[in-house]
Amino acid sequence: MSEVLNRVVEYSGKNPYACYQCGTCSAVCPMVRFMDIPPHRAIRLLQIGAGALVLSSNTIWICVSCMRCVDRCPRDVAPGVVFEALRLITLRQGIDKLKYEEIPNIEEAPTLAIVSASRKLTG
Amino acid sequence: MINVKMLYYPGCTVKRNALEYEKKTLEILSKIGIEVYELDNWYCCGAFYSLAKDDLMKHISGLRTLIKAQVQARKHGTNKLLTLCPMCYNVLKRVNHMLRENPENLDTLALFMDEEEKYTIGIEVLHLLEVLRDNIDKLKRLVVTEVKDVVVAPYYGCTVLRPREIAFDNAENPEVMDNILRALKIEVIEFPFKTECCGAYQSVFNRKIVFEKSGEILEEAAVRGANIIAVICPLCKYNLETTLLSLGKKLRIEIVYLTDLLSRATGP
Repeated sequence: MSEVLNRVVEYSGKNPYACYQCGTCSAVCPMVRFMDIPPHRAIRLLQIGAGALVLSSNTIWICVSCMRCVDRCPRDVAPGVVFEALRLITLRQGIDKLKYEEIPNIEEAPTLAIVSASRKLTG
Repeated sequence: MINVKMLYYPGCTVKRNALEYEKKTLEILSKIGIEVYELDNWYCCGAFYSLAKDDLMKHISGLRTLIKAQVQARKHGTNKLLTLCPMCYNVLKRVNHMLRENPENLDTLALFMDEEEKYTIGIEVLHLLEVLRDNIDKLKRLVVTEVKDVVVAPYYGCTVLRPREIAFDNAENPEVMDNILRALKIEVIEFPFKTECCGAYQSVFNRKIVFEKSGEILEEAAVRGANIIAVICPLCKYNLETTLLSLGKKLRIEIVYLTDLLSRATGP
């Protein structure tokens, strides 16, 4: 198993190898059109040892953990949970994705937008 | 009327960005005989449930809130914890659920805490919609005026319906809010975008996504003849409103909290 896949299994408790590429996750994903790599392909890339491609894509940062794919996945691969593990691979190195000085209208943004973005996009 | 008691967890956003939502909600609840006790010295619930399996520490804020509720549950004689914000509901209910499924996690989490008592997993986390649903007959009796010229698209967002184990309605076609509005004789449209994602916290990271996602929701509601979108979440409201502003005056539609509509129907 590749290093990325090892980490994914350890952080998420999910098994990407169980995926049989039905594509349900990509079909139900509300964010798929903004992603470099759709969820089912991201899982396939993990299976063939190309996890680095997924790590460097915008896919994992576009996902907002709405849990649609997680509820629908017939194999309990739960791409939304796998993506959290992939985010953590970067965030746990101390690399933050959210730049507070670039937030538009930070004074008006609801507190929960800032707190939840911090939870998902910073370590 | 026999009053029902409930503890109440407001969360950060209700107190900073949605005071009107809180005010109208508490008024309605008091009219249907629900006594609400806000938790003392509450703190952040965590806003987003951590999905990492190997990092329980991220659940501490949720657990601390539940323990706080447990302490005050004894004082007020109720184990029900009411939330208005769907994100607070989502996090607290999932932490509760996770602990119920894996009680051994409590021992690990206890290692991070000093003064708090042990959590006995006895708090019941409720969302406002559930409470209104269970009191729909009382709500009906409160109606004093017909709310005229209003056609509502009910909009639920994601976090009260997903994941499955914490949902209180069908995630594909929820009807709780539709039924509450109809019971108060408010006109409701069939709205297939009722659970479509508004873009969530992308409003502070990649705003274009929010404008596109929320824009579709607004346009669909308008095409179907709605002039109001009823919401329960301060973040959905913010995203829909900022998108509406970005569209100029193209759409005649207003984003309103559900309880604001209820209070229009039930009078002052």
